[in-house]
Amino acid sequence: MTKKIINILILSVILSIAVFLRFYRLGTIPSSLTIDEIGNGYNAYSLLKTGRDEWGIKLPPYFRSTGDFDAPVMIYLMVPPVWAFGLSEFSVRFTQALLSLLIAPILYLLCRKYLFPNKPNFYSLLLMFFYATSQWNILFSRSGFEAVVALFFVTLNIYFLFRGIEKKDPLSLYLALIFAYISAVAYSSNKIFVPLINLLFITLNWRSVGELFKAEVNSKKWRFITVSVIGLILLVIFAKLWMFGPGAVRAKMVFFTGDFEYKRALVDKLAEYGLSILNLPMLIFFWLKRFLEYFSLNFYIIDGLGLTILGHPGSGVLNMALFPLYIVGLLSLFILKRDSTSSKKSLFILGWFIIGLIPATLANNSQHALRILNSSIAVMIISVLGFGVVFDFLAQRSKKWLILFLGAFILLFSVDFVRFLDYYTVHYPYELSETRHFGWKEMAIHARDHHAEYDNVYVDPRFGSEGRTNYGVPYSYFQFYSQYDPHTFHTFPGRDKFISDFENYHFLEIDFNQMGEIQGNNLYIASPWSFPDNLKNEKHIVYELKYPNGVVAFYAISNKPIVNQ
Amino acid sequence: MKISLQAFFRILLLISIPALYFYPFTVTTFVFSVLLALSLKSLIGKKRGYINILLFMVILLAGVFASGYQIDHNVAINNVTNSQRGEHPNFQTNIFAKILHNKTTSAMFYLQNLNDRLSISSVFVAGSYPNLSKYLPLGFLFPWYLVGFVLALKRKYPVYLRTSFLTALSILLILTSIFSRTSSEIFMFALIWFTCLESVEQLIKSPKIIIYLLVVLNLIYLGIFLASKNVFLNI
Repeated sequence: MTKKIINILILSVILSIAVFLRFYRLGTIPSSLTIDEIGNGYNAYSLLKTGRDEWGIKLPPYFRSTGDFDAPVMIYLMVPPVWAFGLSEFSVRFTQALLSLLIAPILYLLCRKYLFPNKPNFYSLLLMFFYATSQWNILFSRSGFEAVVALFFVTLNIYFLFRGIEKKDPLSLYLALIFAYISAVAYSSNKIFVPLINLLFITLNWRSVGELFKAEVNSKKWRFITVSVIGLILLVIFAKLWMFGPGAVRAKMVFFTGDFEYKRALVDKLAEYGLSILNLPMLIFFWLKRFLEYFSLNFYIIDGLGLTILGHPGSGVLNMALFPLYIVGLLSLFILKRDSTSSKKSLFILGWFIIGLIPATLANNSQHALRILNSSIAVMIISVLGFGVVFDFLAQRSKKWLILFLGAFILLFSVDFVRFLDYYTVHYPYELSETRHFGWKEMAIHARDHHAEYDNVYVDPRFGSEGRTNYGVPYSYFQFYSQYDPHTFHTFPGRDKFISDFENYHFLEIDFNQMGEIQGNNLYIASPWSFPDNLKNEKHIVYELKYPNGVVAFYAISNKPIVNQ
Repeated sequence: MKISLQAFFRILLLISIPALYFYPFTVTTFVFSVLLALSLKSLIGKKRGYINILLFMVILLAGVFASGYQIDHNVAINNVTNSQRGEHPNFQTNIFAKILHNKTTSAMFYLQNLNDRLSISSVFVAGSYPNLSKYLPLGFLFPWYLVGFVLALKRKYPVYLRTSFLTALSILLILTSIFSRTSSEIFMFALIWFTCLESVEQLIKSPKIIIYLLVVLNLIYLGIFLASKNVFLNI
């Protein structure tokens, strides 16, 4: 009884830590919503108000958004919080934070009941703790990332697969398939990960799965037929909409054959020398390089989370104290001999990790922490295994060494966690606020409060402190922060021709340098390099916004005399 | 003298590795790295003892002298440390800024060195040849030698846990990370040759057909990169 109470107490403490780390100042850390978050939030708002997306399409299976056809699951799940809390930064991030939180107890159950049922309870508690404090998961759960939503459903998928086999319950397997389906629809990477991980599970447990379905066919024939028919229909819909239809646009955009490094540094060079015949072998080795880069030290402990500018040390995806345990765990999976049940589970965990890497290796950019988020759970399970190996090894030999190990572990863990918080809350906003599209919010709020004073408000979508490096989608910010009525926006003239102007706002590239002097009673919002020097003075600047590092991000410039700015 | 077929293939698998054909070694670097690799291997051999440890230490010391022992101290590390301190509000008095951004930044820098020089990706598929484009996916060893290395870990891990071996390994890893790129070459390649020796030792135990396949793969791999070497030369 006492053991049970202590267990519940520890679980509650870990869960409270997870709640704090995911919800504390959710609306303001990290600063500013990205273009994707803003777009998704406004689409959820539009769905809530009109039942249509921002383009006026009724209950769309994918969201055209800014042209990359976003997956639908997260946006639909954002509707209830937007309804409950209103359209705000908090409501836009609420769904991901909540689902990320819910993964913690599922992991505890998965570990306790199915992965390590014969190991001490601390294995499951540790896994839950590692997950609750995982910088990898905290970072993405506090921002609008579809991968977190997909991870929640895939965790449920895996939990119910184990439950189905262990309890010989076909309903659990059907549930697992439903969650697998939702997960695959929710995020591009999971279109590859989900089928493969389910296939791996079925292959490893083919005898049990086969027996289960044989029994199902014999005893509940009609249920089996109904489920199979529905499953088939859903599969066709999936293929039509999300595998080959517009829902696959994003995946095609980032496919690794279009990678800058591969194209410019390899293929183009080979073509120059008439050696294009070597493109295919180079592609294979290039892919292998991308794959093995996920085993590099820097990704795990130096800069894997990308919280600092290139070349600056920052935070890796794993806590430094976990990294050696992860290595020990990984080696133990390869090396240690196990009985057939444990061996199947070991293979599954290893497969979970490796399959989780595959979608990311097929996309552009190396070491992409978000695209391999599915592997993050496996990495933590492997770290727990490593902890177990070291703990058992020391416990058998010397109590003194065991205490020393635990002390060192707690110390290193705490120090590195503080380091992560430092990088996340101080250096990330300072060094990379531009990549989080800092500034558009403030300009949108300024325009919202003053746009009626002007005939027109012109906004240049290009931004970046270094020059015309980024092309944004500012109209979403202006809609979002003025809570612009979606129905009016749908029916605005020109919307059917993909024009995003509304009221007196105009979003277009303007070369202000060509203008010399600005015309009429208009407000111009753009980056500093857009304006000639003779306009960047007190007479014209009505609002100036700087990035946290002090570099000017945007100016709002007009002909109007400045009043109380 | 008669060489067995297995010994012939072992030599073939050892001498065909890409690093030998693409890396601009100096004689000193090559000789010392090979000697160090062999003495490291002797520490896990059947006949190990103080002689082997002594031999390793002597070659190591000679290697350190031959390398020029130049510590990799980049001014940029100090700049990064200062700039990250400065990003804190009230950084002059902020104790967190001082504690969090101090010597740990240097430690990170040396870990990054180790990663650049000896990550799995660098050794087996990415390389980092000073004379070739850094984007060329050309490893120091062949990618499939990773399989051999994993097999070695699986089959021989108890011998890798010997204190003498772990100490020697740690010394080589530390020297690889703290020395400048040129000075670290001897120790970096000692570890790469050791990995190669261990890998080939396992691969050679495969069925004959696999060994033939490996030889063919090695030759094709070398052929591809020799054919395209001029395209990727850093001039």
